[in-house]
Amino acid sequence: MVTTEIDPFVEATADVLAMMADTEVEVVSIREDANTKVKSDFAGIMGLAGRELSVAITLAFPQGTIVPIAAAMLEETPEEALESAPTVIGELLNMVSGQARASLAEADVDLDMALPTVVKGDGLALVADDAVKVVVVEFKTAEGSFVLAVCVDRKGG
Amino acid sequence: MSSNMRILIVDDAPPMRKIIGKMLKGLGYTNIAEASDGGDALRVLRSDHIDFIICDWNMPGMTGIELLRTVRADSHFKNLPFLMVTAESKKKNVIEAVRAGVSNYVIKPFNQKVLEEKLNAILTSTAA
Repeated sequence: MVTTEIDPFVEATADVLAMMADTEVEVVSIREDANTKVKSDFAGIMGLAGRELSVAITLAFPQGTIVPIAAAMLEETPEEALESAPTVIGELLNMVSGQARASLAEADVDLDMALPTVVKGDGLALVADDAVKVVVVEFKTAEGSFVLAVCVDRKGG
Repeated sequence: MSSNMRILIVDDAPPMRKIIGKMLKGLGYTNIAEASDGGDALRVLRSDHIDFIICDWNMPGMTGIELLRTVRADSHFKNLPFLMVTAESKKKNVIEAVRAGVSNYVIKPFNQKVLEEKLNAILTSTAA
């Protein structure tokens, strides 16, 4: 497993949720798979690309996890937080990517960030390309679980 | 400057404006205006009395760095305290913002304590 590239995203996810959402997270499992399917209700996807590396990260939340987190972050009712959830996930992705990118830059890995895309749908499934290995990190919070999926593509190898 | 100063939060993401507003209120700053990008911020600056700007870097339309340059080039606003809030942590970005005249810089993620430290650092240097 390519922990050098994965760890900054795992640490950033924990830091961002602790700092911005007052939410402590715990890593439940980390697995590396081809043919990965991630199921959720909301999923934010962001690409980062550099000379040596391309990274795609996904933050996937069940509604039961993201709504209370967004409600606490924004002091909103659950109904309002449900509406805000996509933009909250977009911002979380921006911050996770920004912090991870800074950590990777210290190891001379320079990445530029694309804009996040957030999709929603009851029980939507994201399926990775057969040829691509994805590291799937499952987190636990007091509100429920969510998933960070990181796909690293080394250019030329 | 006191806690009744009027602070303009500029960010294209409504949740971020809300989070920063919530942090400011927790610090006793309740006189808050909002704008969704640099162009919107300029309209607010020209029609309202603003004492302090807290601005995101990456926004559609006029970005934070473009707003900063515009503000610093305007004789009415050139000394306005300007805190850049962003996920852009690259050294070249920090240098670019400093050269453009940013008062201070805070990198996301951050909490209320970090925001308070940055605000106080700017207000102390402005008062000196």
